[in-house]
Amino acid sequence: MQVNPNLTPDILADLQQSQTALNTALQQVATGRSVSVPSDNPGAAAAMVQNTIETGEVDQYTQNVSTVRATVESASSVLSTVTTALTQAVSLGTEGSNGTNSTSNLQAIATQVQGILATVVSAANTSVAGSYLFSGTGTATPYTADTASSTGYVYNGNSDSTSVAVGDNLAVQVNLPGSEIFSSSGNNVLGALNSLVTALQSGNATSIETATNSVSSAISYISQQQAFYGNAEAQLNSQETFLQQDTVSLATQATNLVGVDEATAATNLSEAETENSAALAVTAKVLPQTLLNYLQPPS
Amino acid sequence: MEALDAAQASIDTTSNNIANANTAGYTEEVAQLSEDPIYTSDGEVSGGGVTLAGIQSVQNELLNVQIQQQTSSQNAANTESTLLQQIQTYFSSTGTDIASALTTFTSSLAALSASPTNAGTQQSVLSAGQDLAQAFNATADGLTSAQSSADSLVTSSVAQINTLTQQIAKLNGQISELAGTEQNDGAIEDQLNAAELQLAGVVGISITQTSEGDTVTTANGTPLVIGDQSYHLQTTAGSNGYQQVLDSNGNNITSSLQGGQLGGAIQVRDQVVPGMLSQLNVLATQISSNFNAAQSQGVDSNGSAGQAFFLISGSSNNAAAGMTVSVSSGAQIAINSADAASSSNVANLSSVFSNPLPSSSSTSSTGTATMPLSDTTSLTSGSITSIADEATGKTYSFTAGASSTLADLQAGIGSAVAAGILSPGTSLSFNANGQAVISTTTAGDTLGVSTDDPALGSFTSAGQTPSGVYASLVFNVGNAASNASTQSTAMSKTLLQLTDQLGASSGVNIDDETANLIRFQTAYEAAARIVSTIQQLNTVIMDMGSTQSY
Repeated sequence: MQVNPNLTPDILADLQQSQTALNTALQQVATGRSVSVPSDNPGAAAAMVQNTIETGEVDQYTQNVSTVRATVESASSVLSTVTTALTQAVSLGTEGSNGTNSTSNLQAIATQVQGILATVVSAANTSVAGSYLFSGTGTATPYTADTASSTGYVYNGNSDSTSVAVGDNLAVQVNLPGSEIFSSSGNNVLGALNSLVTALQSGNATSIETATNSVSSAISYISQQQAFYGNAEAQLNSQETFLQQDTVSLATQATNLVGVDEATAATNLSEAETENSAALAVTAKVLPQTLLNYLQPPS
Repeated sequence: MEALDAAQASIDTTSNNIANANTAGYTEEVAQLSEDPIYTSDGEVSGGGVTLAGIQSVQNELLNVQIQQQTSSQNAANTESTLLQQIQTYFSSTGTDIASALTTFTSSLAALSASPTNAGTQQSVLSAGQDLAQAFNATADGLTSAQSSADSLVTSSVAQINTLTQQIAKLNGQISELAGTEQNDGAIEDQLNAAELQLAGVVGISITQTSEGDTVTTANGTPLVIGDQSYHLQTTAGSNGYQQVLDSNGNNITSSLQGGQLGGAIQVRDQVVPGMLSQLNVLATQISSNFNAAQSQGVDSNGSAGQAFFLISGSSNNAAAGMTVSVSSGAQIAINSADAASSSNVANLSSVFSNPLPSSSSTSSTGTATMPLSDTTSLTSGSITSIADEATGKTYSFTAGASSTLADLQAGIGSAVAAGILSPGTSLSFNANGQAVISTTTAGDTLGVSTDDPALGSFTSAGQTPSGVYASLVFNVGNAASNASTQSTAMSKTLLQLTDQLGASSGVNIDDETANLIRFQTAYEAAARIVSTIQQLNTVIMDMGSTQSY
């Protein structure tokens, strides 16, 4: 059988194939990705959609964790301050109830306790990054002075709490409303301090003692609330560890799906280059070959 | 003298071959020589010599037909591949694709949970929502524009077909005129083959050789050329807004055209893209309706009941193209729960993306769902092939044949319900838009509709998260594009091989021709030498009669 004399189409097809291989290798090295368009590897491209979305979410969850941890930590330290202030109020109350104080002494103690009350209120009104720690989800200043109220202060926040998403279908409650911490009906911290002030001002030893007792029970109530923040912080920390691992495994998965091994890609590129130049060299050699090259024109 | 003529003709043929060595479609020609008988009578020899019987071109009809068919298939795959490459860029991770927009939107919702009252985070949810809607719009536009380019390809292909069939008919006429004469019709045959090959590249054809020349029909039998008469195809705008191909009698033959760039364009325009669009529309509809439902469970920052966040304008068949964000301010995001017991609604909003999509029918109560069948245009003829029961997951797949009629499908599903494949509470019907309307009286049922279109793979939206649904769409698009391009490459390899074979049998080999040239030159010289020898002998004989003395 005669061989096809017209080599051109075959040669062109070969050259094109070699050029395509070269381009692919070059693109892989340049982009570091083996999948640029879905048709390169449909399965990997589909898996990458999920991977991209999950990576984005995990990034945001990690960001959420660090944002709210700041809030949780400041709330916890505010409550420590409150505990210290309350302890001080208890010792002042005990001092006032021992019956050896003059009226003016009692008035002086009452003024001190009032100062403590102001400290606690301002602690309850702490804000971080423009939002109040203890106003529920409300935006108003949590406690403002109000003479009509029995405690002298009124709560302006709401009773809602914020739950922050830190994982798929996982949210951590990161605050307690002020009404639950400082002015709950069972353990009204502000009320206890206020009644201590009133009792000291009246000079009645029994009522000073009762008021002092309720302030010391407020201390243990506050520490219970502090435990909530401790829990939340622990939860955030463990979730952060998990999210870090997740980030790493998602990145690994992404590399496995669409990444290229640089050594392999570089080898492929140099192979493709060699092959391409070989194909070109062969083409240059083969195309002009005919019998005519070897025939002497008749003289 | 005959020997000289024969050698001269051979040299001429060779020179013609060399001249046309690079002419597309040229077939090698050979001078046909035959020997004359030699008569011997009474010791005298007469006759002999050579006769030039004619010049014949070396055609190989079998290979020609194979090449035509392969060209049709290759062009179809190539057209599909080109159009799908255009489409799949919309599904690559470019930063503006749906996957990126979904990422930003879910992230912004997670950020919202940390600071729900912050106007900045609310605003970023709003703009991420707008980006998502725009990503859906852009992807739908990309699919539609691929359809439009396929559509214009249909129109131009039909024009090409008409020009080529006219040409073929004319060549047929010329060949039948030459048939009675001794003229060499090689050149016209070559032209005819070239025209037929070109036509095969535009649309799949079948060729029958008759005494009146080649009869050319489309693969399904619509005549294009009979003898010296060509039959023109026409195009007219169809009800779907795209050009339909009509035969010379005005019958719509669009769906039966296969092969060639026309077949490829029709396949992409009427089958592949509508399937993808409908998946995209299902996803857009479900995301917006579920997100709006989550919105309605809450109260926004202004204290009003949560209003719809996404708006689908236009019909559900264009949901992805018509998706917009209907709220104008971040304060309208329903962050607070309307229910006093739970305080935040943000978790409900983000759960739309982390939980499996309930199929359009409610999973907790009875209801009616409307879902577009993935491919409505294929429901024109044929019958239902099977109904798959995947009852374990309470997800039912209704597998329509590539060309089932609505009535067939209804009948098939009806019999499946009667046969107990489907639970008795489930019923299906179809509305005027060719959408499957599924209703169930069984609480907790999830229902899905899938297609068996091989270009799309099966697609069920129920039971997957939105990102999962989108991922399977990406898979389908990538798979279709990669299949088409693999097919195109494989076919071009086969085509190359066939062309090689044809070249081997009918091509012009310069080496051969050069060798022949030398051979015929020598023959011509030899014949000329004989003539001069005879002339010398004649001179000698004539001299014998002269009166010259020795």
